[in-house]
Amino acid sequence: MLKVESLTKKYRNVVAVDDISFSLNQGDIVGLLGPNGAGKSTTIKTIVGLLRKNAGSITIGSYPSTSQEAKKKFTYVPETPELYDMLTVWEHLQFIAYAYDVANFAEKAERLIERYDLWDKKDKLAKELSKGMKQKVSICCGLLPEPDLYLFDEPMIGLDPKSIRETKLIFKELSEQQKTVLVSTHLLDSIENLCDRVLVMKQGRIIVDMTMEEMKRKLGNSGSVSLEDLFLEVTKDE
Amino acid sequence: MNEFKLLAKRDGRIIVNHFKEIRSNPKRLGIYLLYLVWIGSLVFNVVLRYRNPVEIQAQLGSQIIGAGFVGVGTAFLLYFLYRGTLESSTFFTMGDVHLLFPAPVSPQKVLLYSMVKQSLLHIFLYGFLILALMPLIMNTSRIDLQYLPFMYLGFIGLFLVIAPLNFLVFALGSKYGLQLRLQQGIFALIVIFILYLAGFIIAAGDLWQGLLQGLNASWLDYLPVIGWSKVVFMTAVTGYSIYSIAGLVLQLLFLVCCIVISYYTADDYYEDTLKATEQRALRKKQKAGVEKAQRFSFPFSKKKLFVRKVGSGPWALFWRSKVEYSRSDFHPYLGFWTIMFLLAGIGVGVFAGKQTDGLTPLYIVNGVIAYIIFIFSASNAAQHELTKPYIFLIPGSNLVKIIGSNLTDILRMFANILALNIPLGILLNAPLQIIMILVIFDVSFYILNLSSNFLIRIIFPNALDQKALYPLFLMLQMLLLLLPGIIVGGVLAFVFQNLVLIFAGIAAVNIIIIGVLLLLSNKVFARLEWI
Ligand SMILES: Nc1ncnc2c1ncn2[C@@H]1O[C@H](COP(=O)(O)OP(=O)(O)OP(=O)(O)O)[C@@H](O)[C@H]1O
Ligand SMILES: [Mg+2]
Repeated sequence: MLKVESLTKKYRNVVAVDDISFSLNQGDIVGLLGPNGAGKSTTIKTIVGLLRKNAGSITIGSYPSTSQEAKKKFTYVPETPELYDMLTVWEHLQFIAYAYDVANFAEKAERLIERYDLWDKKDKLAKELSKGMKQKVSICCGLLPEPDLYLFDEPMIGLDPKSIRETKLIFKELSEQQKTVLVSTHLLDSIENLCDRVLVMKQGRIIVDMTMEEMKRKLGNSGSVSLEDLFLEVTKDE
Repeated sequence: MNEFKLLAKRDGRIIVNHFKEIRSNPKRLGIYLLYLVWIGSLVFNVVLRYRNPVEIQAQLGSQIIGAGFVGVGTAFLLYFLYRGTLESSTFFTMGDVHLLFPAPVSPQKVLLYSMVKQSLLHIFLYGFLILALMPLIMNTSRIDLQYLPFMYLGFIGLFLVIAPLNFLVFALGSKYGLQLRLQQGIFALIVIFILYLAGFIIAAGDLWQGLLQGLNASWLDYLPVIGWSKVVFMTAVTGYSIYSIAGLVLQLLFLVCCIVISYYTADDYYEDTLKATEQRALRKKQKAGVEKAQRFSFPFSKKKLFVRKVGSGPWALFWRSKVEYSRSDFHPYLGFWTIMFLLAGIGVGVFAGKQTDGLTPLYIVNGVIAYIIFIFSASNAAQHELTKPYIFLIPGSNLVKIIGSNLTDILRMFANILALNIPLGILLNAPLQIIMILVIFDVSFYILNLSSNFLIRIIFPNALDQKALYPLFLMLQMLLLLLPGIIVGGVLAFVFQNLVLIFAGIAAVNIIIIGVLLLLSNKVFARLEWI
């Protein structure tokens, strides 16, 4: 579904992403982890086409990531919600529906808005929303087109417990529908039972790319190890 | 810790970091070099002018300068006093608001430090303004270079008191609930000023004579702030006297008083400066092209509205901006400015129709409008869309994205230009085809600017560079984009001896350039980044 090969991205003279390769198959739910500044957001933004890559190739379902065909196959939820101040919640979804040609969007949008408890905020302008509510709208915009590939950059930030649970549930459903998801996050326990695989980045490189079982097996001491322990173990400085 | 030491240390670090950044990115130096060249050319201009002064009439020249200073200065002062009753001026940044204000430091000392710092900075910055005005002043009257420092001090003396005075008016007004009183007082001052001038105009029986006499009346020199700074300012024109020093001392005392009184009254001003600080931060961002300028909108902000779907894919961008405009205006394509343009068209038409028979006013108005459109639409318009990821994400042709995100703005401008030109053209008896050519001419400038906006992003992807380079870019834009049209138009008009052809020629070349820019849209988009 998504194939990244020797991708490099520099900001002026800072190498933010350094020659990374990985691929996601259809139905994979993959967590993208790493300490602050590891290059997670840069990787996702480059895949999405918001940043220009310096080297390497990215294909989405056999199309180059910047092509129109590729753009129809994925959605992206940015790190911080970027909404239009003068549009209401509902109009945001309407806008996305028109942009992505979503069939019977009203029904889908209503369901999403209900799930995220935004129904009574439906006609509020984005500039009147709280930070967490904006994040919810941003997520709804990412979910509405029902694409094959979802790219989420720290979607849980600022959400209340109920919405976090709802988001996790949605990930489960996506996995059942054989959708592909790449989600960057710091909330390890929120994806622990969700992802089949994790990519751990550090200083622009991928230092770990394994399934959850492999990871646990590799570090031995069986059941009692949490993802957090594993993460701290692999990212610690020598 | 001592507040002053703390703040001075902070500013020291900021300056050092600026230098460090320049060292790591020496390209910046080029920008500053260009500014130096610009300032140098101003100085050069001044020196050249000084050798061959063009004198109108000694007496008249100095009167014009005096009147200009008093007229503009008073207008400024009254405006800022009035603003002071509504909102505070600010000496702070958002960083101060979030980090300094919550810290255990004395608000009074912070204010004192910031006021003094800003004053010192302005002494330097406003110097450029007077430098830029020098050629104009020297063209009007002979000035004594020996007393140039007085001219400079008089000029900045006026500007320096504005911010502290504005702050003081706000602080006192809100503290003692005097806003309404102050507003009434300021209105009274405005009315007195206008009546005073009107009296002179009627007595002299001539607009200009009256203004000159009224604004140069000798008793004005005794007025605080405006009069004192005028005396200092005019030293270089009318010669030195003991009053020059007196004015200077009084002006300085006044400034110190403002700052000291602010210091003693301001203990709880954090909230008051919040709004102004936020707005200033927003304006900075807008200049850098990161944020769209807030448009004028009517107080009713409609919540419920229905805008029909206008197409799918990138056309959703068109739908979106229609929604935004429908919400903030009474019609997606017509708004406040349409009315203003309509009124201007009728006004100029009636006024000019009486004076002349020709179409010259029509040409002049459209020339000026096109120029203003080009200069002022540069920073806002489509930039807004580029601050959001959606324009990059939406599947669809890049050409349609550019058109879709700009179409509402273009149609609105089209409506405004029509509203201006139709009444104007009818009142001046202009043939329809000429009106149409002029409308296309104006709108072509607008579209030219919108379509070249995307290029700015590529050439200067860094927001800070965009801000620093903005004037430079405007010049470049003018040279590259406007010059071809003007040359072609000029040649056409010269060959065929027909003024309309200038406009037609420029419009045609603009349209060609727009076409080229649009054809390049795919290349442009491939290079755009959303950082
Ligand atoms: N606009 C920028 N200009 C210059 N350098 C940048 C820019 N954005 C990011 N970087 C640098 O690129 C590197 C990767 O940043 P990125 O935002 O991808 O990290 P991240 O893994 O998403 O971190 P976080 O967990 O904090 O979101 C960092 O070293 C950062 O300093
Ligand atoms: Mg990030």
